[in-house]
Amino acid sequence: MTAPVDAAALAQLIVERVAVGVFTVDERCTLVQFNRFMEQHSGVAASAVLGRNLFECFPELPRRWLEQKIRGVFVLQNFAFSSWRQRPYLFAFAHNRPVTGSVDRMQQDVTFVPVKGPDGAVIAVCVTITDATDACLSERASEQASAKLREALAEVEKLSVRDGLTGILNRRALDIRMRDEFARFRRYGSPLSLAMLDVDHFKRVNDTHGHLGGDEVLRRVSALVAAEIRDVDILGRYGGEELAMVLPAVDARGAAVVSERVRRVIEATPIAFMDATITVTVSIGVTEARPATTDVNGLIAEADEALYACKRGGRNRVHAFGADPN
Amino acid sequence: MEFSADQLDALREIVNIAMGRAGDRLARLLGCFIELPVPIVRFVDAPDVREAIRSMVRIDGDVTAVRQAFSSVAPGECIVIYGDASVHELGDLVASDATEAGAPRNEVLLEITNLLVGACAGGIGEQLGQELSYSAPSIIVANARIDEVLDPANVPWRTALLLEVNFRIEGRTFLAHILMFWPESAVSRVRESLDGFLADLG
Repeated sequence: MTAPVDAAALAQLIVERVAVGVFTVDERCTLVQFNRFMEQHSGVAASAVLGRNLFECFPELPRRWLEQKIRGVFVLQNFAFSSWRQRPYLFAFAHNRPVTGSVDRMQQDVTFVPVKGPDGAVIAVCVTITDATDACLSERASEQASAKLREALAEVEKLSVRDGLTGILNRRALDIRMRDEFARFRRYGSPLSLAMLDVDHFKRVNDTHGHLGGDEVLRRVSALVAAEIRDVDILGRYGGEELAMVLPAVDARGAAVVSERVRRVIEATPIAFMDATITVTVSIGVTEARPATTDVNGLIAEADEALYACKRGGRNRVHAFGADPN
Repeated sequence: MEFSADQLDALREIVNIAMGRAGDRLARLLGCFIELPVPIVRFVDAPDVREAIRSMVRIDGDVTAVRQAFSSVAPGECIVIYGDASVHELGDLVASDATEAGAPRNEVLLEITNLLVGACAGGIGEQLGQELSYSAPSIIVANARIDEVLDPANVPWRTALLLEVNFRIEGRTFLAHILMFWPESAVSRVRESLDGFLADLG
């Protein structure tokens, strides 16, 4: 026959054995209770601290903050809390993941419980310390995964719009932008010009310097063009060695001026590749959208025709659609 | 789910007394005059909760919302909503670390919330002769639109008892909207407590 369970003894046992730090202080911060969890993690026996001041026993504690928290409970007669998110830990305990845990200390949730005497006034504060390390690590892992996902999404977005080699708009994005600008021209009638740029004798560059040389030429030419145009202008890779410049609010003459500037810069800028220096020139066909222009394809066809005239005329030049070849 | 006229009256009276006491205590603690206008008590269905919050809180800009649960016989949860301007004023309200100028904003928000919830929920509990326990406060949303505070599709109740108290400090722009919710599962216990209160009176 088993003896009846003594409720008080049971409560005592539970407080001692529970996997939560429990200690209690009176109004002067004298320790009046200190459970086994606290002993085991602090390495200090209860018998050595009971009846002594909390801060004398544990001088590393954040005294000003903790005193204020405890005093608040006495004054307000209410619970107080501290989460690991605000303050990683109160006591510098080791956590229980010595191999897999990536934080240096046990992350802790702290609760300050008012202990009321028979007359209802608060006579002590019971402080509980709960190990929140797992929650912390789990949340961090989740945040890291989210950050990686966001980075990946940004990368995908960049790739879907940018040409991988040159960094300017890819054909798909270029088509969309051209369509938009043309629609705007149709609706508001503001000028719109298109310049198609083609690297002269590009096949020769590839044959002489290899495809890597060709790649470098395209990269540098794209960069040189980008530097000459405005922020509102649109620059994209139309084809293998063909770039397109979409120039809103610019007429044919303005487009020709920009194009001539681009042509001159490219002619004058040698491109370093390995031990060699590559000089290239470009041909640029220019056209302006007019009421008669039916759609974007019509605009492109005109610019292409102007470009073709450049090639026939000897390359390294700018030609406007409909103008006399000179 | 409905309360009788007597029970509603009792609830309003309890809340009034409780808020009056809470205002006094907070005023003494913070050293300034507290305004706690008459609380609004109503039942709200989950699909209407967003509209209810919007009409009670009336903040156009971003808000930060902190939640804290309380319990004695009737478990409930408080949501305290702060507008942008109020959040900026927080620093000097609670000296959470006397020498450190500008304690981390979140820490201050949580402390203030704990203060308010303890005063209001605790005040009601006091009137009903109940000792309350509390969970740690936590931030639901920060710098978000008011509609993001509660998602009616994601709450474990269909109807709730809702009590709204606005906490204002005289001479400052600081304003906290305290929303106290009791889900339907707890409402019968609230009703019992009210009956107990009424019985003690008469």
